[in-house]
Amino acid sequence: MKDLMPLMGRVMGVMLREYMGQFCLVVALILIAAFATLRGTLFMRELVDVYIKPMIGVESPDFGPLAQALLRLALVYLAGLLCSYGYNLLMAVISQGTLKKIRIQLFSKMESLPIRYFDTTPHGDIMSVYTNDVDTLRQLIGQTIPQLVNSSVTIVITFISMVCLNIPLTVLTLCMVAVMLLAASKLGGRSSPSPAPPSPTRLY
Amino acid sequence: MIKILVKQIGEYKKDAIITPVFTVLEVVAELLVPYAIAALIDQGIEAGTCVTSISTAASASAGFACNLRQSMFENIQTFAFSNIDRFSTAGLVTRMTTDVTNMQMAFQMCLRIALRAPLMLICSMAMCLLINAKLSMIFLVAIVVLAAATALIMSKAMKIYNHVFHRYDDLNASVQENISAIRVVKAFVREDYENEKFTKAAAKLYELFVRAEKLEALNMPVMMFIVYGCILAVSWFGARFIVAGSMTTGSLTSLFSYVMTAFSSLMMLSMVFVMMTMSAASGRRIAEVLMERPGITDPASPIDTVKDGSIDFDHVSFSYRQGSGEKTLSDIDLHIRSGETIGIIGGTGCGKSSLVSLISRLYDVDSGSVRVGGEDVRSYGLEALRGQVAVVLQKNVLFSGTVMDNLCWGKAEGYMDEYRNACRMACADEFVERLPEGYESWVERGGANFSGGQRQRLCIARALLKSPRVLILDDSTSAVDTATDTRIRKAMQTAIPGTTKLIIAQRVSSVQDADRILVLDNGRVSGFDTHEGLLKTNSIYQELYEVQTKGGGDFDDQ
Ligand SMILES: Nc1ncnc2c1ncn2[C@@H]1O[C@H](COP(=O)(O)OP(=O)(O)OP(=O)(O)O)[C@@H](O)[C@H]1O
Ligand SMILES: [Mg+2]
Repeated sequence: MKDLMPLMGRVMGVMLREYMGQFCLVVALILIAAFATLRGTLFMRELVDVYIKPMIGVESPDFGPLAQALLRLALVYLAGLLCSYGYNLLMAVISQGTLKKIRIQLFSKMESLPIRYFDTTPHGDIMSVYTNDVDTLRQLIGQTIPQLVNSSVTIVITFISMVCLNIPLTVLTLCMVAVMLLAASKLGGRSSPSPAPPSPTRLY
Repeated sequence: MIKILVKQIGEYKKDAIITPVFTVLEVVAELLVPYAIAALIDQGIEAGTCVTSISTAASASAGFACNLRQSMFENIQTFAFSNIDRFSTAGLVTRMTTDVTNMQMAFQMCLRIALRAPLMLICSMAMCLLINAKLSMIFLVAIVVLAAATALIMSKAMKIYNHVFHRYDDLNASVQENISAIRVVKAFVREDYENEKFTKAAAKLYELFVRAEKLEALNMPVMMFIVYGCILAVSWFGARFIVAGSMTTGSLTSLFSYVMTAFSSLMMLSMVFVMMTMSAASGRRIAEVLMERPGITDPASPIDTVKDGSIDFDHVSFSYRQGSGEKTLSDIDLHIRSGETIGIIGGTGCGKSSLVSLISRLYDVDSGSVRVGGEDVRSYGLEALRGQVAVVLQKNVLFSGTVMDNLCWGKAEGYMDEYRNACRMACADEFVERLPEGYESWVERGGANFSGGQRQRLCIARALLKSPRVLILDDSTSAVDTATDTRIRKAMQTAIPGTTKLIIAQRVSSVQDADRILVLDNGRVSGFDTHEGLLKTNSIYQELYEVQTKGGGDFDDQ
């Protein structure tokens, strides 16, 4: 785990250097998409209180306001949907582009190493940098980073809306989360003596 | 294919089965939580089962990957040259690394999610049906549409993934070539050229991956579209039902929460599908290696002693790609007596190495037959045959270890004087014994710390130690000076007279005192006679002899 942080930093470094603009766009799109989801959740609360309750027991209920609200929501959803498509597309380009960049850097670095390096390092080890280690990076970039961005945005937005709704309950929830994380890390640390992660930093 | 792969789960079946059990517990715990009063305790249970199922899934999938790699490796060990030619070394490397990793990830994910997500989905659907059957119909329709859309996208993506792994092979081939031939690259200052080549391969891979991932990115909006549509529809019709009095507001709210649960399990499912499409391509490639039957196997009742060193080629034809029509060797008919010394000569690429590789059955003939000691090579056990036919390959290789380790390789338990003897015959004693540690000196990988000629001599000694009936030297003295070359040949002549010796050479001087000389031309026998006979009758041989004996001086005079 300790090895992972500088590695992440390095990978992110390559990524940001190449794709700064796109990455910012991705964050923006994720924010909008998350906002749309949030809007949907909040609407469900409103639905009953604001639109349905007043209509119950009315002689000739007017569905107009509800229809309008649903239409607005549909538009918000559409925007969210397009944004999430957009960031997925961008993410494909960014993650694969970063990998390409890293592969090429690796290779040209390798070509520049002295022959002594090839005589003293098992060829299988060098080969495995390209296969196993770059694959691990592929996983890291392709799955972990988008998840990280996505989850952190969701957490922030959920937190904000929770604070808006009810502060004491928010505090209680936070305490519970802390307890859960603590328990999970204790249990997780004990039950998975995972093999040492490969070190993709050898050559790179 | 799936059956073959599933078999590889092997002893990790227990973990593989336990995981879904824990997952079920996890789901049950999760669904119970809202109803339980002591939420704290339940969350404890959930976290417990969750962690357990993660670790069993991890151990099952890691074990699966390990088994896959091991079986592939074992199978590859049995491969004949023709099998390896088909997959290419780089292809095998990718299959053992990237493809197995993909399988491992997919397997782990499947174990954890593939059961959990559908279970959650079904449970929440059932709850919806309980709450309001009519409204839930919207839901069912949506899921059918979603499944169809996903299937379409995935089948498209799958096609791309099949190409992706071909590109991986190319990329790895380029890396591998550069690692093993780095000296050549450096000597010719080809780094920039190789960089460019690699960049192109990497760019191609990038393009394909982006195309596949862009297709998969479509999955998400399609799903969101359907789920959002459901929410809107449920809101609208739900409101009507409530106003009409056939539903309560409370049930609408819980309906929504179940819709959201279903939504999140759908998300997970689609993630699994993405993994599965990628791993399906990998799985197929792994299964190919596992299913590949060695092109050359022992016969049912193998003969295990080679009677003598006679070699017969009866109208042999051979090509590297069967059925391509392009013959590497055609209609070779030769009869060599035991103990003869045969020189083989001919232009580059005329099929000399191919001819001798048939004798030790590195490849099988297309038609005709090759006999050693009077029996078809295909009727011997491979070990017996290759033990008695020693080949010093053109591209000889030493392994990392001591000089002794490398020599032992040819014969299990040798004695010191046998080693000395073999080394003396191969003229390797002169430099080995001068080394500070003698026979215990360390050999670097590939023999990088020995000169070309020294390497060749050690390889000859290694082959001699097997005391074979047939000894084949494929251009094995090319890097040795002419005087040493003559000494090696003289030594063999006197020390192992009973062994049939085939000497492939580029220099006429290396073969001219052989009993007979075979002149090959473009995969055909052009002449097979003594030096004197050939000089009279064979024009190719005459030409070679003229050029080589008169030396370069003549060219300058012209
Ligand atoms: N593994 C292989 N797969 C496909 N074709 C091959 C393979 N090995 C050799 N060939 C082809 O078969 C032909 C004969 O090759 P071979 O190695 O027998 O030549 P050679 O006479 O030994 O040449 P040299 O003197 O350079 O060693 C060549 O045209 C070559 O292209
Ligand atoms: Mg050859």
